[in-house]
Amino acid sequence: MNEKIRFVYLYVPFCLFLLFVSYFGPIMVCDIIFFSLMYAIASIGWAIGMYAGQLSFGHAAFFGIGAYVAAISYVKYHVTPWVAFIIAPLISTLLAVAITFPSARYGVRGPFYSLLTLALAEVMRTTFLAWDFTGRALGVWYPIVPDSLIDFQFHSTHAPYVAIALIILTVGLSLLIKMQQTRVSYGFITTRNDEDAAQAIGVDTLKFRVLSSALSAIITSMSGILYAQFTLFVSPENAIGTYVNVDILLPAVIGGVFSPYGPLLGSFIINPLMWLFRILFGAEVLHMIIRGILLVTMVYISPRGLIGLFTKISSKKEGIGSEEA
Amino acid sequence: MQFDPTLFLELLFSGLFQGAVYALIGTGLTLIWGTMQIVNFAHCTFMTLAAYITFWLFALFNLDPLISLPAIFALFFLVGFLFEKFSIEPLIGKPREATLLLTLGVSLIIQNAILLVWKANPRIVNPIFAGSLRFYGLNINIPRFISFVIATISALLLHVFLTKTIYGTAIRGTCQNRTAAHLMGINVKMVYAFSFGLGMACAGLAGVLICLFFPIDPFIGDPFIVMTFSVIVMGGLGNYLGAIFSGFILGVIEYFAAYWIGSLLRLTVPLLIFIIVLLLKPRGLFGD
Repeated sequence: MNEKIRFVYLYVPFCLFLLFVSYFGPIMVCDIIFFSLMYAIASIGWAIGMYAGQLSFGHAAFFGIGAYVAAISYVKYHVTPWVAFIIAPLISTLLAVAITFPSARYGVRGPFYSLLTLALAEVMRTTFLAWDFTGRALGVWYPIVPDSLIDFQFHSTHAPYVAIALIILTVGLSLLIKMQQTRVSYGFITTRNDEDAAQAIGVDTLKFRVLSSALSAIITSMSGILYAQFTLFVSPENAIGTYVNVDILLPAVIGGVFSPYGPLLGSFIINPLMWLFRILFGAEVLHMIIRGILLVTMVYISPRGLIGLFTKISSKKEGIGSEEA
Repeated sequence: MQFDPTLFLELLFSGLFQGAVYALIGTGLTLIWGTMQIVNFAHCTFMTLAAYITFWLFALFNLDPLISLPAIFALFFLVGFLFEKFSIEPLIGKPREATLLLTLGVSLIIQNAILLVWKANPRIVNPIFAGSLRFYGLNINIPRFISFVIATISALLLHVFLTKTIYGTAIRGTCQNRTAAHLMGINVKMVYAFSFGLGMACAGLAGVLICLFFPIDPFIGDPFIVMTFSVIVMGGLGNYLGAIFSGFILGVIEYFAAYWIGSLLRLTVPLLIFIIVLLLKPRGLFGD
């Protein structure tokens, strides 16, 4: 019930506020909101992978699949980018299952899973750099067309992008909240806490790991589609590059991995902050350093993110044992 | 395609020379993993830092990389030791992803600090012995050869240190069972810091060595990250000789792939091999 109240009285007004600001506010604010929402979606995807204890350093691969599918289907095959919302999740699910199924089967877990996913993203990046179909290092450039919903391009106002991102975010979040009230979430918790013990008591860890990585890949690829449609330019560096991985995982780490609203909170902290730094100092370099510092401080202050920190403090105050995830 | 023995041998040697550096970094990483079960993501970024310090010593004081080698080794041992003591030790016992994220953050900070200080331009160190040697029709690049010799010797020395001395025995004991090692009177925390320092010193050495034959830029460590992790996984975790062998193997594969498939895909093939090995033989090619 608590979850429902939070959703109706906090999340919905928040969304309406964002919509209002992006329709009537300056276009730059709208862009910041869009980027925050986009990375929040990607980060929610990443966090779902973490639910089953799978720390991925290669979510840029799924992000890149979304971006490239949208770009290639529009630029090369002249079909509406909306088909990417069907194709990209399919491809990324296949890829995620292809990676996770054998690794769950043969006991690749913990840091090795992270390295595996990192290698996957690297393989994809280097392949796309050399592949004519994906436009090599130049990437894929969209032709600029007038505003239209079918072409998924809006130039006079960026607010429709925000609206579409909000729809995807809301679907993803409600899925996540629903999931937390079912048996599945217990499967995830036991799998991530101790995979061997979970197997010993008869939990099908393989199923939960594959499920979590498939869901995670689907949501992250959606965010990639949004990215491609907004920037209208996709290249191996900006869609699958090493720093994309950091951009995807940072909001969840800052906000809180295991709470549904954590990535959203983190994204709305980090992205406006980075935008501010870009305006003040200009250098791309400096805000990567700040990202690194934020990552390191979060590891020491609270590995469960700001929301985790908050619940820890409030439960201490009320004297209730916090739910240790 | 006609088989050309000279070309084949040249590729083989280039691969072996490159593989020696992988082997050296891989031994350091596998040492850290073996003792502490920590994946040090910042390892290759520290290597880049070492390369830049070497470059600076060369450019400012005209110190030859081979002279600054021992100094860098000592410096990075100290850096690794202190880094472990002050930043990783508090995280022991926390969820394992904490150290992964920490080292990722540290590598971001260092890489971009390098970018800020030295800018993105590639820098070159010109050692006095630069040049190449004709050997039965083969072109052998002298700096590469020297770095090969140094890397191989240091990797083997590390192996000897770990297997033949009492300190090495303490480290290997901690690898096998830290509680038992603790009960035997081994100062486990000291072993952690010491092996982290030693691993980092290996990264420092590798940084000096790549200076000899690569133009260095702040992103030079990126391809090394996944490659060296492939080396330690293929070698079998905590298996030093395995790491050395698979370093050579992956180096050779990389060079052959670069020649026959194209230099853009030079890393794709070894990485694919890494993925396949990890999925099919998670204990490594030389593991039990």
